[in-house]
Order: sequence, then structure tokens, then C-alpha cells
Amino acid sequence: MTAGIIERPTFAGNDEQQALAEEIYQLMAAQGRLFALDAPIRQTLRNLADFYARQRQMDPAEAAQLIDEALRMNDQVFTRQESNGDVVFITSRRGRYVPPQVDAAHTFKQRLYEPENPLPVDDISVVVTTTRPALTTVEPVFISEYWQQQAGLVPVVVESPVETPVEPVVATPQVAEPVSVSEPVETAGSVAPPVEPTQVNTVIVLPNGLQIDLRRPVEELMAQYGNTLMSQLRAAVENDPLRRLVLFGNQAFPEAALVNFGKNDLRRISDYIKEVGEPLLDTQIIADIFYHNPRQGDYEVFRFALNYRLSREKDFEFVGVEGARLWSVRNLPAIGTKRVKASEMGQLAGYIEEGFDDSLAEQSVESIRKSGQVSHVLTFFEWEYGILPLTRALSAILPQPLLSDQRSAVLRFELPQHFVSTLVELRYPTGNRGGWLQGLEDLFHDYLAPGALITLMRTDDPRTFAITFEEQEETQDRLLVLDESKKTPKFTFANISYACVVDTDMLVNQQQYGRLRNLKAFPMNERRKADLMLEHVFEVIGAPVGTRAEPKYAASFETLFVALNVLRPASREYLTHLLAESDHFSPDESRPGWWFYTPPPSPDEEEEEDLNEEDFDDEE
Amino acid sequence: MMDGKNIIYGETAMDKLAQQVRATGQPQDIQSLTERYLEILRELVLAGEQQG
Repeated sequence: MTAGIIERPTFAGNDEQQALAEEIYQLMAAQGRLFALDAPIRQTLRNLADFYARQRQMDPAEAAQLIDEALRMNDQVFTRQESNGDVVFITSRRGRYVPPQVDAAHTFKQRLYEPENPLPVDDISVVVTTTRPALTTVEPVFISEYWQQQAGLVPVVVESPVETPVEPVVATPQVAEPVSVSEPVETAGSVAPPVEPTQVNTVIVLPNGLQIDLRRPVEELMAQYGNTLMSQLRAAVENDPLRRLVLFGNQAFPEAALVNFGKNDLRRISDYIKEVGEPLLDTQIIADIFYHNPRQGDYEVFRFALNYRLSREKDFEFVGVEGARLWSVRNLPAIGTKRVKASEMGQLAGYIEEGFDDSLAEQSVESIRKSGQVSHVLTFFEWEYGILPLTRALSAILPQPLLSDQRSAVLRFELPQHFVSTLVELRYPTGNRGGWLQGLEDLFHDYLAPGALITLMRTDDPRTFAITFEEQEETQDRLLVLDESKKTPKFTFANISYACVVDTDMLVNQQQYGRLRNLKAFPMNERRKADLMLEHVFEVIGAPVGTRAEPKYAASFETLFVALNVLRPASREYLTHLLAESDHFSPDESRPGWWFYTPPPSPDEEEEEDLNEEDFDDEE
Repeated sequence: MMDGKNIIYGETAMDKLAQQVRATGQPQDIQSLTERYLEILRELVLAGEQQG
């Protein structure tokens, strides 16, 4: 392809020398046939001499002399070099060797920094910096004066009716220029009108329509509109698609400045939590896995980054509170009883969210918060399952969720009188489903009895709470228990000892509530039907006052309250609501606090009645 | 300088707020964040007023 354009070199010297030089050229060209046209092809005189001496059966020294002479005669084709006592001939496929020359006249470096005719930098905007700003900034956009005036950003300039500055310059060119320019500006009052500064609107409108005058001091604004301003800013930060700032709980920091945690880090955290077997504090994770020291300057930012990153991972669940940021993972052992599912308990405690919470009848929220403690009488359901419905009184001392989508928090409840403690899960209410505390089963069974008067109180640690009760001499009584040893759970009475003060009316013993052994232990999903449960409870605990054909039962309100709370949690207000709502219940006018229950005719009886009526009609 | 009606609460000057928070080197609680933001907005409109 390229052979056609290669000119064959001509050789000088006598015939023998020409022939020899051409032969060597052909030999070296064959050696470098894959080289570029200009690429040097080197060969030593010794190699060439050895080759020819063997070929022509002659002395190598004589061959070397012949070759050297022949090639010297053709120095336009062969460049002769001597190095280390050895003679090297260089040629190329083109037939001559041109040493490469570095053209430094037009390097990129020179062109970049030393232009032949550098452009004048008369505008700062033409200067390009190679350094990148730490944070992306919004570039200013030039807005013409017209639109600035329209938007009220700059005062409207009234044009002067007479253009005076030009005339003096034309008429008397000798006059100094500054004088001619400054005079009209000073004297011509018509150019700039703003004797009074233009009023700039300092009122801003919040997304919810609230108007705020920014001329007022920040302290004043925060005092008056603090909650609205904070919630609006929080909403804006949460909805910012650029995530310039991100939130965790009540704290904010730019996301760009947060460290990232890789999959390996997350796996290590997950494994560690599983190994310990219970939710762990963020500080413990940082100390034990990342060896970060609280004395390090970036500790708080690192801590924030850990909490923020974990909150965005599906496998991790935040179960902490303000002041104690706890993290849990999937497949961690459940806290509390498995006999009541979360969905079922949410429905059972739903009466609280429906407004039938009377826990604040005797104590106000303020007094509970001030004292940091709340008293409560244990019902049978609470004692049996170790569950406390999250009433308003109870939630007054318990921590609120730190995150908007937080489902639960893991707390520690301790019995200081017995130096024992247990993990308790606080489930927050959602929608019409109530909240509750679960995990107190062992504490209740070991130290308390249904009817026990307990006091729940805060401690210095935000996630630790204490349960105290008044102790008394150990008493043995036949108390109601749920026997689940057989296939069908059954209520029965058993000898149980307790050493706590109890509300005797609420103590579910055989002497007072012997009939409750006939109570049917309904499955949990049926117990959410409070009206049906009350009817069943009334039939079991109520005194029969009707006839066989027309049964009727009578029971006191307090008895019904205790008995209903065996099957499911219910407040007195909720019980009142259930009694008043149904036509089958009626108050006993002669005895305040007593109620009658008239069961509806059973379907069999109704059918019989219908048949009788039909017979009667037929007879007619 | 900026007119109050051109300020969108939660959008305007959020970059500056982020820069300030970053410069502190500590996560800021929502109250101090709001106060900082109000200061920034105040500077914007009051500078505009002075210029006007």
C-alpha cells in the first residue's frame, strides 16, 4: 500500500560499493518492514560484517572494512554513529535517517499561559477559575432595570427633560471633563427624585398564609409565631428536593457534609445489634464499631450522620426517644407477649382514641408532668398479658415519638424495690388504633396481682421508668388465672400469693367473682367486639332476675367493669358508653349504679315465634 | 436586596442557611435553625430597604 510512494534511494561509490550498500539497505529495510517510514532502523557494523563474512566466506575484519567504506560513501542513506567503541549504522525505510526534532514552538503549555498576543482582561467575568466552590451556589441572573423597576427592587428614575451635560462639552471643549459632568448631576434635581427612600415591602407571607413583618426583631417573631415558623421551615426542609439540609428529629445539617456509610458498615451495625440481642444506642454503635471518640471535633456531626443514614435504611428501625437514640433491626426477638398481636391490641385499645379515656378524671396532665408519676390499678387483662393501654395519663410521663413515622420506642422499666428491670415496648397510637406498653408480663406475675395499685414514674434517664407499689405481708388467695395448658384456654381460680397492696374491689378472687370461671376465653380477634363481650360478661357475672322464658340479669357497674377487663381493656367511660348505647341494657332505677341486661331472643326462639304467628295467620 | 413579596419562606436563601449551618460544624436544632433563617431573610429585605 505504502510501497508505491517510497522512493528508492540511489547509492554512490564504485559498482561493488553501490551493490553492497544497496544490499545492506535491503537487508535493513527488511528488518524494519513493520516500522514507520521515518522510524530509525539500526544495525551494528559487527553484525553486518559477521553476516557478510559467513555469506561470502571471508574474513570478518575485511568484510567490516568493505562495509564501512561502502556505507561511508552513502552517508545520505546511512547515518554512522559510534557508541562505546561500536559502530552503528542507521537508516529508515524512506532511505535516510532524520533525527527527531522536538518542536517546542507551539506547546499547549505555551499556548495556555503565554499567548503571543494576550487578550486584555477588561471584564472580571471572562476570568475562569479552576477551583470549585465548596457548595454549589446559585449564579446571579442579570435582570434588566426595567424589570427591577417593575418588581419594585429599584426606584423608578424620572428622566430629565433637558439633556444639559452634552452642551457644555461641545461648546467649550477646554473645560475639564469632571466639572462638566458633575455640574448637571448636582444641579439638575430632576434626574434623581428620591428625596424620600422608597418603601420596600418587608412583609413576607408564609405558605399557610400568615404574614410576618421582618422589620420586627427575630426574638419577637419567634415569641409570637415560633411554632408556626419552625413547623413551616421543617416542612420546607423535609420537602426540599435538593436536600440542602436534612433533618433527624429536631436537628438539621447539610447532607453534603455528612459521611456515608457503606453496605459493609451497615452490615456490621446490624450484626452487632443482633449479637447483643436488643436495640442499641447510637453512641454505643459509634464507640464499639467506629471507635469514634466524643472528644473528637466532628463527633456530633458523625453521630447525626449515623442516625440520619440509618433512618433511611429499611432494615433498621428507630426505637429511641429524645436523649436516647436507639436502633433496632429486623428479626430481633420481640419484646412482650406473643399471645396478643399488635393489630389486635391496637383495636382493643382503640377506645382511647375514640375519646373514652377517663384516665385524667382524677389527675390533670400538668400535675402528672410536674410530679413525673402516675398511679394506676392493674386490671386482670393488664396483669395477665403484661400490657398497659396508653392512656393520656400514661402518655403524659412517657416520651413522645422523635420521628414523624416512628412506630414504637423501647424503654426500660425497673422495679427499684426488687432491683429487677425489663425491656418494654411502647407502641404509639396510629389513626383510630390505640397505643400500649407491652413486655411487663414477668414483672406483673412475679410481684403483683390483679387489682394492685402501682405507680409509674420517670427517672433521670429519658428511656428508663420505674414501677413502685406499696408492699404488705404476703397474702394467699384464690385468684382468677387463665389456664392455657389445654387446647382450649379456660378461666379458673388458683392459689396465688401476693405481697402488694391491692384495691380489694378490683382483686379478681373466687370469693367476689367466682362466676368468672364460666367466662369464655374468646380469641383476641373476637374480643375487639366490646358490645358482644359485655353481653357475655353480663350473662356470666350478672344475677339472674328474669324467668326462663324471659331471662334478665342484674349487675353493678363496678362488677361489670372488673369482669369486662378480664376479657379486654376498657375504661369506665367506655363501659358507660356501651351500656347506654345498647337497647338491651337498662339502668336499675331503684339501685343507682346497677344495670339490667335483657338478652335479645335467640334466633331459635324467634323462628318458633314466627312459625306460631304464621300458624295463627293460616288459621285466620 | 429583596422585596418581601419575592421571598418564599423555606426556599429563598436556603443555600446560605445551609452554608451557615455547615460552618458551625454542629447539627442545629430546629429552633436555632429558624432563628438563623429569619436573620438571613431580615438582612435581605432590610438591605433592600436601606438601598431603596
